[in-house]
Order: sequence, then C-alpha cells, then structure tokens
Amino acid sequence: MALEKMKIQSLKKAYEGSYLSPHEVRDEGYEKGAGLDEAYGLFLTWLPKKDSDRHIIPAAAADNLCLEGQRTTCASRIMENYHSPFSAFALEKAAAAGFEVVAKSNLDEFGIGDSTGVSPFKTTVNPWKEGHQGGSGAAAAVASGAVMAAFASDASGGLRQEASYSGVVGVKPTYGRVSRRGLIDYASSLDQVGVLGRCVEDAAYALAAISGHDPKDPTSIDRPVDFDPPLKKPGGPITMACPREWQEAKGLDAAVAKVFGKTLEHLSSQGIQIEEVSLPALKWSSPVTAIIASVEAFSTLANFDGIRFGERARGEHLQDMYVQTRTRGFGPRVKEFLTYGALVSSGKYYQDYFLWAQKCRRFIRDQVLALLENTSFIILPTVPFAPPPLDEKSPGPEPKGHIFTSPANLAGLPAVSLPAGIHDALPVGLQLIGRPFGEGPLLQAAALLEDIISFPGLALGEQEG
Amino acid sequence: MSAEYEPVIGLEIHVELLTETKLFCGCSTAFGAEPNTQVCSICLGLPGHRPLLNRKAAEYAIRAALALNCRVASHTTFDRKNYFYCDLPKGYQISQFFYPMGTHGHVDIKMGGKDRRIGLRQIHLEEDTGKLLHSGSIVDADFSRVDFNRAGVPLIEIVSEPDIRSPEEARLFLQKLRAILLYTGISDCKMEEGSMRCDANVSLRPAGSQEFFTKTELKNMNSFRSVQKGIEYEIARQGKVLKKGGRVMPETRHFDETSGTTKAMRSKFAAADYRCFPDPNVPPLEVEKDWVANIKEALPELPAARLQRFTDLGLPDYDAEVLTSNKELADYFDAALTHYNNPKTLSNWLMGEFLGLLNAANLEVSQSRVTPGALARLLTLKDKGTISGKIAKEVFADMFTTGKEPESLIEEKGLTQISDTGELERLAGEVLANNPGSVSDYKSGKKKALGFLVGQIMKATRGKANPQLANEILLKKLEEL
Repeated sequence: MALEKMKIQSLKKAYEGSYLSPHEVRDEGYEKGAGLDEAYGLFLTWLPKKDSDRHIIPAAAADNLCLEGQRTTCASRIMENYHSPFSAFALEKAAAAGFEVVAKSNLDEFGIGDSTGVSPFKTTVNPWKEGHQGGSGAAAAVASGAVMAAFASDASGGLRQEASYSGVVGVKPTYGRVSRRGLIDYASSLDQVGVLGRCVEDAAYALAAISGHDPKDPTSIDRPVDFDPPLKKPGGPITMACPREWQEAKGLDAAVAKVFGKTLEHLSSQGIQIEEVSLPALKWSSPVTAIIASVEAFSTLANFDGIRFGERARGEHLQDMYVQTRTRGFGPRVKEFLTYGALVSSGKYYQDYFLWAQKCRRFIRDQVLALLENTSFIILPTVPFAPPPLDEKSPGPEPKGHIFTSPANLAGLPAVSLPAGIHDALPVGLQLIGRPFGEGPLLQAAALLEDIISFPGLALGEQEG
Repeated sequence: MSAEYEPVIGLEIHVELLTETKLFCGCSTAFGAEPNTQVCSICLGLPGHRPLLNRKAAEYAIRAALALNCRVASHTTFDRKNYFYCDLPKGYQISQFFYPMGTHGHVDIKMGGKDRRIGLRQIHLEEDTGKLLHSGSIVDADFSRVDFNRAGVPLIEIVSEPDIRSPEEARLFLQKLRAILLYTGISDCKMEEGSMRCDANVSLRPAGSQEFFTKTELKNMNSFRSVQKGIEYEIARQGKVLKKGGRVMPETRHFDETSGTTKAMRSKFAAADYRCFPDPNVPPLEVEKDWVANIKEALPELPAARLQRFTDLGLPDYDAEVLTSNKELADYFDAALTHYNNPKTLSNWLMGEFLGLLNAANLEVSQSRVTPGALARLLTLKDKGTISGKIAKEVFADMFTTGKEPESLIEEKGLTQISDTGELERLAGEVLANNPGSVSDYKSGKKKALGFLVGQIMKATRGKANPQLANEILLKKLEEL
C-alpha cells in the first residue's frame, strides 16, 4: 500500500505486522519526496538520511524551527548559512515519539505575512491546482504525501491558513502547551508551535508528541496530555457558536461564504448544534494583532545584525553596517512589517496604537472567552478566501487572511483548521476554536466533523483502516 | 562658583551582583576569564533562545532595596528596552521599566556635621552589556572587538533623587552607599573592576529655586574621587556658561581623568526611543510578602544599626563611625569582643595600632595575620599586668608580622612584666645607690627626678618592669631616705 494513502495508525500497524520496514519507508520517502519537492517547491534543506530501525514517521519541520547542527534559515537571506547550535525542544520531543524530520520546509520569510508560500529561496505551489499558493512547504508536503506530518508555527493564523490552502488539518495549541524554545518566533506573546496532518487523528498524534512542559521555557505550562489517539468519540451532543459577523468580514470571498454556509447546514443536519451568536470584537482582532505582532517583531528581530551570527554586510561604520546588513538581508514584506512595528510604537503612537492594542487584546479575549462559557467551540471559516494565484501580491503590513484566526492567538486558545469543501478545484477550510487546554474535546469534535464532511484528501484518497 | 546658583546633582549607579550565574542563563559571572568563554545561546541572543530568570538575582535586588529603605514591589515585570548597539546581543536589554524592585528609598549621610538625607528614586534589576575593545580610540579605530562574557551579568541600577548639592556630598553619598551594599553582601562594589559604576546628572539653578534646569550627563568617572572632580569641573563650566548669558546644552559629557575636565561626546545614534514593553518571554514575578520577610530577616546588621549598638556599648560617636565604616573592621571588633570585655580599649587599639600597621603594609583587614582572638588575649594580658602597655605594642607589631600567638612571643622574648615586689625592691635599691644626684634632686624638691629614676629601672629591665609598681616602690624608698 502506498505510503501516501496511509494514516499514522496504519503505518504503525504495518510496522508491527512487519509489512513495512523503517528503511523502506525512509527510502520511499526520500525518493518520492525529491520528486514532490521538485514539483511543488517544498523544502529548503534535506537532512542527511538516517539509518535507524526505529518505527519512524516521516515528517517535515518549518525552517524557523531549530535543529542542532542543521541549517536553519527562516527562509531569509539574512540566515542563509546559519546552523543552529541547539534543537527546538518540540522537535526533540517529536523525535523521541518517532517522528523523523527528513527536511526543513519552505515558509514565508520568518513566517511573517499571509502564508503565500513564497520566500527568497523557493516558491511553494499548491498541489491541488497549479499556479496557486500552497501556503507553505510544510502544508503542501503533507497534502502531497511527501511526509505524514509537519511541525510549523502560528502567530496570527499562518499555520491554519496553510492548512486551509493545502486541504489538510492544522492545529495551533493553547499558548504554553508546547515549548517555544528553539522556535525562531517573531511575536512571542502570540506564537505557538503547531502541527499539520492529513487527518485529525494524525494531527493528534503529532500534537501529543510535542506537547508538554519544558522547564527551560518559562512560558511553557505543565499540563498532562489527554489527547493521545485513539481519540474518543465526544460524550454528548456537540454545541458550537458561530459569530454572525463572519459574513461582514473584509475581503470575504463569495465562494468561501458558499462553502462555509453549506457546510454549516450539512453539519446541522447531522446533529451538530450550531448557534448563531454575536462577537463584535471580531472586526478588531486582525488589526490589533498586527499592531502587537509587528511591535514584538521589530523588537525580537533586532538581534539579526550580523554581529554574532548570520550574514553580515560591509559598512563604513557600525550604524552603516547595521543598515546594509538588515536592508539586504531582510525581504520587502519583513521590512514593511518591522517598519510598521517601529512606527506604531514610536513617540506618541505608542499610546495611541500599541498601548491601545494591548488593552483591546484583553477586551477581545474576554469576549471570546465569554462565548466559550456557554458553548464548547466557536466555528468560523479559516480564511476569508481560497488560495490566491501565485502572482497575486500580498501587501501588508496587516495580513489579509487572519481575520478569523487571530482571535485564537490573542486569547491563547487552541484552534484547528480542517478541510470543509472544494471550490474551483481548491480547498476551503473551516476552523474550530476551543477552550483553554481543551485540545482533547477540540480534536474529538474535529474528528467528528471530519467524518461527517468526508473530505477527499489529495493524498489519502479512500480512507484506509 | 557664584553663590547665586546652586548645583543640583543626581547619580545613577550600576552595581554588579555577586550571583554565581547571569541574570537569565547559567553562564558564570566570574571576572577575568578569556573573552567569549562564558557565553551561551541565551546571553548571545541567538535565534530561538528563551531566557530563564535567576531568582537569586531577584533576591539580591530585594536585599538592596530593603537595606536602602525602599518600598519593595509586590508584583514586577521584566521589560525590554530596545536599542541597537554591538555590545547588546538581543537588540534590547531586559530591564525593569514599569515596576522597579524598589522605590522611595534613601541614604543618610553626615555633611559638614549636618545630617542629610539623599532620596533614592528607584532600584531595579537589569542585564549588563558586553564589553567593547577598540583597536584605537572609539572615534578612529580600524576595528573593534566585543567580549560577551559580561553580557547578561545581573546589575542593579540605583537612581538617586536630584538631592545632592555638592561634589563632596556626592562622594560621601557614594561611600555610604557602598558601605551599605557591602554589608548586604550582594556585590563587592569595586569601581576599579567595574562592579560599581557611576554616572552623574548635573545642573545649576538660581539659589532658592525649586525648578529643574537643563542638565548634562557625566560618564566615565572611574573612582569616587573622579566623580567628585568631574562634578566640580562641570559645575564650574556650567557656571561660566550661564555667567556669559549662554545656555547649557543637554548633552552627555565624557570625564577625562588626566585633564580633570569633561568633554561633550559625539552622539553615536540619534536619541533612542526605547519602546519599553514587558518581555513576553519572561513571566511577571510575584514578590510574595513571605519571601521579602525572609530576606529581611536574613539581612546582616546594617551600618546604622551597628553604629547604634556600638555607641550603646559606650563608644564615642567617632569610634563607632570609624569602626562601622568598614564592615570587615566592625566584624573584627565584634569577634574580639567575645573574648575581651573593654570595648573602648579594643577600639583604641583597632583604630590606632591595627589600622596603622594595616595601612603601612597596604593590607585589608581580612589579610591580617593577627586574629581577633589573639588580639583579645594580648589585651587581656596587658590589662592583667602580665605585660606593660608599651611592651604590648611591641608584641602586637611582632604578632602582625609573624602571625605568632602573644603567649609564645612573650615567653620567647622573656617579656613578662616584672611585678615581683621583691625583685623591684632590689632594683630600686640599686638605682638609688647608683644615682645619688637624682636622689638629692628629689629630696630638694625636684619631683621630676622620680620619673628619671623610674626610667632607670625600666632601662635596667629593658622595659619589663611594671612602671606603676616601680614608681610606688621608689617613692616609698625615697620617703624613707
């Protein structure tokens, strides 16, 4: 049976029954993966092939996650030849659980922007339809079957957006669930390491593998992992809240509205109780997130100066060296975002924009949590539009696609995107947001929805048992 | 300086903490290592690092805040101060902007006999930067090197209120501050090693005014004396500017040790907008009341309290101040006092003989070969009359150079005071017989001749005779003649 048709559960069974060996899996992965990489622009660095007998699950890691001794570029020229002296804790945990990272995948430079999948090094193409954005190398790799799972970051919705574009499952955990040590993040109060998988159960395997307390990340929380597969069926009927404001979202595609609307109907007909509610704060979420994220990014990316690591340009004096290094090393989207962050935190704007945004954050968070007191989940589209054409410009500074995803980052809540339907041969995702540390019920609910929706995965095809 | 203006001086002092490791990582803080050998991905600010707060450093900051009479924050955050410089690895310094660990403190000093209270605006924790080494001067070097061993070392910054009114007062304040901090044990406060640094803000205002006028910031003063000199020069300079009808420019000035002058520094970058915000990677610190209470209880007796205790023992103010100004000396005093019961005698000896010998040999109290116990025993022997006061001083000098015990030295050199009346009677008889001139002098009314005769006994015994007894016995014999 072809590897790309397998779920992680099936692979484990195949290992146990000795139908497959890790060496075969590895060889096939590297061979097929090379072809898929060629076709879709997935990876920036292939890792040296290992030789162990461990029952490995081939995976990819976005190139803003550190691996000791390996090239970690963040898809930026300023990091073109950087080799990290330590590994991300999440990847160490993943390795211990059997996930073998075979390649570092392409992403938007530093993960900043609308997950176009376009970086200075590579352009990731959507495996569903030529000429369209794939979101990221990680998402396209999972969708095309090059790997079975991937690890990537989500600061305002990027990971979920990639998942939606590539028709796969993407999960961002509760803030603090997964260690950020070794993640080269840009917005430390918003960013989390999440997972991509072909189905909810695979995503659950991957998320359970990387979750857990890291004593060396003080923002990491000590909570037991209670969402190891097999995922239990939800106990009772599922209730969801759908904020009606989604229909007024800026840039909402009629196609997305149609797919989402139809999906809601279908789910309701199958016993999922969906209540229409109001979340007025929704319209502020994206701009507020952009302000906070850009200020944090301007601060956090200040260490890229060529002094201790990374590429260094010549300058006539220190300040000139800084200017040359960062002007040449950073791409336009990153520079725009950092400049925006510098602007909204400068002088008087600090009070009017940055401080205001921080206060709004609390307000938005409170509104979202209030909704979740009465229902277990919030349901929304993942992204207001289908994967755009490759050549479509995505000017910032605020991403266009994070209107529905950013509330989960502002409030630190777990959220999952799963494929809901297809329009014009491209996938459209829907999103569930759950309660703090409620990954268990969230993934259970997502699995139930997945069953009902029966989305034909690009790689998986028929569901294999 | 013209009496129409009064100086307004505030000081900013950075103190390196004596923790084993840095503020946010486990790298050693030890001074003097090879460059860039005490570094890691955290203090180098490498991509993906996460800082880990050193709780001991927080404890030391609380200790300092308590010792300096501050209110201690019950909740505090660690905030990013963002600016670009090559000795700042992350492009921001983690400091405390919103909730400094201590506020509303003060230091009391005596200035010209008057009590003066210098307010402390705040004490906060922050990380130190790396150290720059230029291949020439900062302006024209071909290249510069950065040593990040110091990057991340915990500091506390102490900001005084602009309460200081003269260069001398600034120096006295610094000395008192240092003495208090040495007592807490949080730093060794050595300006020559950079573990204590001081910048000054200086302005002038019309005498009697309550307003604040343009100030200049003085940097690069590497000793208390330099601070005093730098401020002196700056006050004079500003005075001249104002007298000519000019305006003082708000600038940073560099103190030049050799010329004793301050020079305006070329600005490196435009004045920075620090954009401070709480570092999302460092959770806020709840400073529990119990923790603070434990720290307060464990505080060593501070100079003011010790001074009070010494004066309660009966020591004059002057003695108490000299002893408590040096923690080691005060500790020595207390230790000796457990074996000896005359505080004033002990104090005299410490301030006189002990400090005299230490200074001549350029030694610290801790380097003394004479232990407190040995000194106590020496003084006890003197009080008992086993040796005379004069001999005791000689023995002490010997103890100081050789480290030998007083008892062995006295025995070795046979220095025991002769108090045997029989022996003294015999000696007195000899002296009287050998000095008939002095005897008749005394008999004819020259009482001073007695002193001479006592001197003769002392000479004959090489100082070992008990002078009071010798005096008594001679007097008795003279009366009998």
